[in-house]
Parts: sequence; structure tokens; C-alpha cells
Amino acid sequence: MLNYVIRRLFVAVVTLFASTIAVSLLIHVVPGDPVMMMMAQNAAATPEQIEKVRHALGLDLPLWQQTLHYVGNILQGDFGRSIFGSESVARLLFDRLPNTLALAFCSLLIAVVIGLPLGFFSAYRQGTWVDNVLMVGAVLGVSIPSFWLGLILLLFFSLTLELLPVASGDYRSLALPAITLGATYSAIIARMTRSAMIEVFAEDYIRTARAKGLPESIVLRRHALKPSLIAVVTIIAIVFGYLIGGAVVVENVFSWNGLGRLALDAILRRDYPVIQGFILVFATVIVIISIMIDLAYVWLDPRITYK
Amino acid sequence: MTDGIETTPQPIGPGESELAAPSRWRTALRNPRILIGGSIVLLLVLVAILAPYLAPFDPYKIAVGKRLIAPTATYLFGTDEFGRDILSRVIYGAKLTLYVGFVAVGIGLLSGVAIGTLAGYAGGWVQAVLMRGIDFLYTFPDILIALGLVAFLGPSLTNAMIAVGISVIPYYARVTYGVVLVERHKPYLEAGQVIGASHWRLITRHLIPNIIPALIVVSTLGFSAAVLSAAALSYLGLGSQPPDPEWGSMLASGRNYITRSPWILLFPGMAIIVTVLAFNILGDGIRDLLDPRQRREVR
Repeated sequence: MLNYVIRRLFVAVVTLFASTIAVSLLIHVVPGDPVMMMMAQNAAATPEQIEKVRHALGLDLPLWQQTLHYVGNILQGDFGRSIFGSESVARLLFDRLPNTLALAFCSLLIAVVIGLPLGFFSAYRQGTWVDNVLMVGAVLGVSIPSFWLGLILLLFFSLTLELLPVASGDYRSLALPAITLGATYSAIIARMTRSAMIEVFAEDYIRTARAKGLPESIVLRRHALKPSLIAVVTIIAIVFGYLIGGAVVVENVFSWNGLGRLALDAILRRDYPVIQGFILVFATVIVIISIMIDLAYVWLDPRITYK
Repeated sequence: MTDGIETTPQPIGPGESELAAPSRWRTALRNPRILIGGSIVLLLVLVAILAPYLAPFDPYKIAVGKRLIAPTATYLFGTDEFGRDILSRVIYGAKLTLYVGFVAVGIGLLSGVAIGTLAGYAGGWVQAVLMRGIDFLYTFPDILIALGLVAFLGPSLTNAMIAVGISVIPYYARVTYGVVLVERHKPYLEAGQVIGASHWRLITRHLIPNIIPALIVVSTLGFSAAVLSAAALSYLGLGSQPPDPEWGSMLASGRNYITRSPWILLFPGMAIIVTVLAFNILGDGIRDLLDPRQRREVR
């Protein structure tokens, strides 16, 4: 087990290392000269300033040195500086990360609380009208763009009813974006839970348990629960990944001060160091989630052993 | 999905797509999801093609005196903050949306099929390297990959389309890889090898035709995902740019007027939902049809 954890961590480090190299090269995807693109925002920039930025980003070096330069800095916790106001990118990112994580966790909670029971129930009553109605609702749910749902909620709650503030920093302003994201992803969770549970209910051991006359409550609790937990962990982890992607969009609908808003501002201003840092932070979050899922599997499923 | 392909009788050699046979068409149309989803998709395609004839007004024509008119008999969907007819803009938007979806799915599908087939067919270290990379990218939400790419390519409809296309490559690669693994050791491929067919011929003439049903399902469902991502990018101002009548960017430019004129929000949003829903329903329907295991569950 310990061996497995160590190997898993090693793979994670290699993955993040590769991502860092990829991100450092991403700046060369920019059509034309990235420094000129960035400085285009600042009409008064003198050629000296432009050269200074180029040098600060290491873009005046040969490609392999640029990569080394970037990776070396990241390893020292230096994500570079924003082109505007020259704030430390690391500071900018880590100031906003808690807001995005708070939004993501609250939305996940809402999505799970709504989606799991509905998906479970739908699978249990598979083929009945309840199942049909729920699944029509779910396919409608996955077809609604989160930003549109957000605008609709904004329209109804903040502007018509004046119950919640539109944009401020406190926990109440978290409610609408969290409901928006939570509702959107509850439909995905319901669909995934349903198909996972249908597989569980079709297992031989469930049929055997029923055939030997066990009461349904015991069949569910003793035989169906554990394998469903494995499916649920997988679903939650996958949805959490989607959710932090969706958060980037929804944050901008509600002016929630998270990483997504920071990233959009940076993209519109072509503040490349901030964008690079943003991608790396997300890569790290995603790698951490995938390690956690793998470990959860080992813990939940006795059949899985890692040597 | 793979089970369905395994249990369906396989055409030996350069088989036609299973959907091509006439009896299949009849079975397909008896499936309510294919019928409903397919009809709406067909309707959308017609609207997109006939946009210049269907739109009552010029979608770009600004009329200061006609700003924010509520829906009436003349302006069925009302007018926007520049006095443009929203119905005409929604109709022209169908064209942009289907085009974006088509190109994005095309990029994702072609690259994904190439990578997935290569990995599944070659095996060994080629498979290890390719699929390790794809698996890692797959853990990223599509929209983040697309956002990251647009950040460096620069905001425009073309770049958003390319970015969305690239962001879904891992999805198509994984599905293709999965199906190819199932097919790889089937007798028809081994037989082909024995009679000395080249790898290229085996892949293009024998393997690919047999994985097409699975690809139809994932592309239809993937179309929905691509349309949603592209609309989100346009909403953020990173895709289609004003004054183009793209649904996502219509929502973005109208968002300051929604309290006074909610129809600005309503119609482009409904257009996105109907489009995405239609492809989702159609995709679910085709999957039912091609996957007997799933079909038994649904009935």
C-alpha cells in the first residue's frame, strides 16, 4: 500500500512537471510576438519597457533555456509577475483560490444532495413513469447552459425580489452562483448515478440476495450500498472536475471574485504570466483530486489491491 | 457501448455502416427519441440553411428608434438594445452555432479517432505514451482546456472553434481506443492480416467501418457539449464577437438590459437549450438503438 502511494505521488510529480513544461511552451502558440501582444494594451510603452518585459519573461533566451528558466522559477514557488501592476502571480492566484474552492464545494454539495437521490430512485424504479419523468428532467437539465440559468436566477432573485445582493463579498452572494452550478451539475449526477445503479442492481449477488428472500431493505443496505459507494465516489470526483471548469464561467456571471474572474480579466488583457499560473493551479488541483479518488477506491473496494 | 457492437452481427470486410440498411432506418424511426431529436435537428439545419429567406429583418441592422421593443406581431421576439430584430438574429445564430459545432466536433473526432486507433492498434509503448497523455488531458474539464487555448490564440470565433475542437480530442480518443481494443483481436482482422492486407488497409477498410456506429453516438452527444462550450466562450467574450448574432454573445451584450427587457435573455437562451437538447435526445436514441443491453434496460 505504502509502495503504491509513493508510486502514485511520483507519477503525480512527473505529470505536474510535464504540465509545467507544456504551459511554458504555450506562450509560443500566440500568433505573432507575445510581448508585442501584451504591450499592445499599453500604447505609451517605450522600446526599453518592451525589452524589459521580454527579458523579465525570459523570452529573449533560446527556447530550451526559456523552459528551464520557467520550470526553475515555478519550482521555487515563483510564478512570475503580472504584466499590469507587476503583482506576484502566486499572490494573485492564492488570494482567489479559496473563493473558487468555496464556490465549488458548496455547488458540489447542492448537486450531490439533489442529484444522487434522484438518480438512485430513477434506477430503482427503472422503466416506470417516475423514471421517465426524472430522466426527461435530467436531459433537460444537462442541456441548459449554466451562464443562462445564472442570468435567469439573477433576474428573478436579485433584481425582481431584491432578496440577495448581486455582487458583494459575503457568504450570501455565494448562494446564487452555488445554486446555479449545483442545479446544473445535479442533472449530470442524476444521469450518472442512474446508469451506475442500474449496473449494480443487475449484479448476480443482488439477484441472489433477493432470490433467497431477504427483505428489500437488507438487500439495499447490505448488498447494494457498498458497490454503489464506489460508483458514487467516482461520479463525485468526475463532477467536481467539471464543476471547477463550470465555476470559471459562472463566477463571471455573478462577479464572484474567484480564479475564473481573475483568469478572464487576464485573458482579455493578455496577461500571459497570470494565465499560465492559473492553468498550473488547476492542473495541481486536478492531480490532487485524482490521487484522492485512487486512494478512495482502495479503501472502498477490497478487490482492488495495489502492490 | 462496446457490448452492443460485440453482439451485433458484424459485416465481414468493408461493411456498410449499420445505419445504412433500410430496415435499420425503419427501426430507428420507431424510436421516439430518434424521431423527436432527429426532427428538431433537421429543422435546425433547415433554419440555418434558409436563414436569409426566413429572417424577417436584417440581423445586423441597427435602428435607434426601435430599441428594446417588447415582442409584438412585427417583432415576434422583440428587439435588442440596438433595435435589431431578435428573431432574425436567433435565426442567423442557428447557422453560426451549427457551423461551430460541426467544425469543433470534426476537429475532435478526426484527431481523436487517429490517436485512439493508433494507440489501440499499435499497442506497446505507442499506446502507453499516447493514452497516458490523453488520460491526463481527459481529467481536465473541456471548458478549461478551451479557455487556456483561447487565452493564447486570442479571442475570435475561429479560435474558439479550434480551441473547443482540441479540448474534446481526449474524449473521442478514449472512446475510439476502447472500441478498437475490443475489435483488434476479432477474426476478421486476423484473417485480413493472414491474407497479407497492409496495416493501412486493415485500419481504413476493415477496422474503421466497424467502429463507426460507436462514433456516431459519441459525435451526436459530443455536438451538444461542443455547442455549450462554444456558447460559454462567446458569452465570456472569447468566441464570437459583436455584432455577430451568436446566441452566447447575444446574451452577453444584452445582460445589462435584462430587468427592463427580459426577452433579450429568453430567446437566445431557449435557442441554445433547444439545440443542445435535440442533439442530446438524438444521441441517447441512437445509443439505445445500437446498444441492445441499454435498450433492454430502457424498455
